[in-house]
Amino acid sequence: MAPIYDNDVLTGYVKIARDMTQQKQAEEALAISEERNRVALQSANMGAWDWNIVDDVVQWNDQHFQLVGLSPGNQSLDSAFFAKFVHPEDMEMVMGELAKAVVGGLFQMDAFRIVQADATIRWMSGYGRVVESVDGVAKRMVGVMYDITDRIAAEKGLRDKQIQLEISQRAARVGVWGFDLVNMKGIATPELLELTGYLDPGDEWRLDIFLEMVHADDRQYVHRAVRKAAADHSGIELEFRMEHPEKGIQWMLMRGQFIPPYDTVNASLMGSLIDITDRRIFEEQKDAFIGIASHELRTPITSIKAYAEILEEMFAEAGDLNSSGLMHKLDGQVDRLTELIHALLDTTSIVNGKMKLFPTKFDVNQLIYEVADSMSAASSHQFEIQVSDEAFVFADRARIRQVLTNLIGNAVKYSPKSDKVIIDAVTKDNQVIVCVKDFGIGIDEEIQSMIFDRFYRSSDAQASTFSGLGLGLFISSSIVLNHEGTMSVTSVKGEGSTFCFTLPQLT
Amino acid sequence: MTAKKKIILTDDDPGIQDAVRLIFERINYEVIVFTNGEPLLNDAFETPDLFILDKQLSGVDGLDICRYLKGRPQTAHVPILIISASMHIAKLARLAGAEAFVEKPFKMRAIRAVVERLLQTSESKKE
Repeated sequence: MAPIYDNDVLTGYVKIARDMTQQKQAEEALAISEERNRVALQSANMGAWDWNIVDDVVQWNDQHFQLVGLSPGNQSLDSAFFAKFVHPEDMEMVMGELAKAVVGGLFQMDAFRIVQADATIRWMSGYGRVVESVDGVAKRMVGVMYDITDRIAAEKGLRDKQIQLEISQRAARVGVWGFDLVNMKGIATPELLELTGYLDPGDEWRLDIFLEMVHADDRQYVHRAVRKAAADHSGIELEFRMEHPEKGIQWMLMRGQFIPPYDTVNASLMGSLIDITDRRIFEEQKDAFIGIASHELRTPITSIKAYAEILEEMFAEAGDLNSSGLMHKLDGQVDRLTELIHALLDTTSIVNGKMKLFPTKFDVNQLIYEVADSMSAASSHQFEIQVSDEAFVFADRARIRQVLTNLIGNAVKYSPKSDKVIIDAVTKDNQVIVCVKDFGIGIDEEIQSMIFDRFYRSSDAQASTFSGLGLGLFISSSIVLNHEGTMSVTSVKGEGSTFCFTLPQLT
Repeated sequence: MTAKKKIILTDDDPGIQDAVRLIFERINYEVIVFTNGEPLLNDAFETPDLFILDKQLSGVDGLDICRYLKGRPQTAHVPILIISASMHIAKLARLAGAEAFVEKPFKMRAIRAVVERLLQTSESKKE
């Protein structure tokens, strides 16, 4: 506003009004935007730089000073000052990229090293852009720099681990496989390809191709195990033969685990494959030795047994009952020796998956009566049998008899102060469930899961007075498992145990 | 008095030869022992009432001898019992034509029972 004078007399005002709102708003918006950028840069620990190329004047924000290991300041710097902090080995590359950016307009460096004021080396990533140019000549460039040392270290760690893993897989000759359960295909490591000798590197791992490599006799068994692991979301551990195109039949140990689906990735099975051919050869030699040894042992045992029985008969005929009784005991010990040899042979064949089954159709209930009958003569226990109509199965009768004999024998052996054993059989959900219940010493809860292991024998002071190799339950549970059944135990210490096994019912 | 029943035992182990002889002589059988399969394969024997053959003889498989005897008209009708320390060969023995199989070691009562059953069956066929 301005006064108007006419000969010193105020005659009026001139008022000029200009609308400043837009400018004010723009200034405020700029201030907010700058503040936002500042906060963003600060929180991301990002250094910002502004380079006046014409005058070679550089400005840094506080973070940029910190990134090179200096306290924040507001002095003007130049490009040579920045260069002081670039690692000598990366200098040529960084300066070259900056020079290119002056012409091309864009500066981008994924990783370079900065030597901080205290000589600490840090990895940085940088990005910048020309923001002012006249006639195509860059005048000013702005950009950011940020610390990626942790990421580089993590990547290096991962790479090192990867290399270590690859080296150890190579050294241990472990192949790693995996396939998703929707497409039935996936990954295979070079070791796996080498082990199987079929696929070319780069070929995808497919279940159908893999199964074709498996020995024809083992194929169904392997396929079934894979399907079971996929259906039950469980693991796999099995030994089988593969046909190697050059080396012939190779024994493999395959282990695997179900991996549930995540994000967009399908559920899969992943695992390892190891060549165990050498081990199997040793095992076969060992089995052959046990086979020959046990065969050779049986011959003199046959004679000893016959002599004992003949003598028992002779003493009995002569009325010398003391001597015939002793001979009877001798005969009993020979039987025990025979049983031990049987158990060793059975264990060998179970461990090697060579237990042969000769299944026939029979009624389990009838077998229970037979076994109980034959065992009752030599036992002071009463066998109480509770069975329903009939329970037919398709199984190896001699083997199931062996299981029943073992369970009833254990029931008698571990209940010296009781005189009753209950044997019952029921059919339920297409299963025949047979249980043998005793009222003996019982089994501690914490060892109940271990008693089906090979060579497991109770370390309990009371239980250790009972003899045996500790193979009986291992053999019995293996027989049941080979029939696709299950075996379990429930027991209360001091009250008794109930062992149950199932067999698929023949309907 | 009826004539003693005659058994030919072929086993290469002296212990088994002695034991089987004792087991059956005590119940009034005559036991002729061959230590290998040659006399049987050369027809150098008198036809017995029953053969007991060890499966694993030195040089020759007892099952082969079994097949030979079953293929020969003079001995085809004579019951054969295979004895062996190998398990699970009952089916093989049956396929070779043997009437019975007993695993070593056996119970005296059991092997006597098997032999008596075989002889009874054989006897009833004759009648």
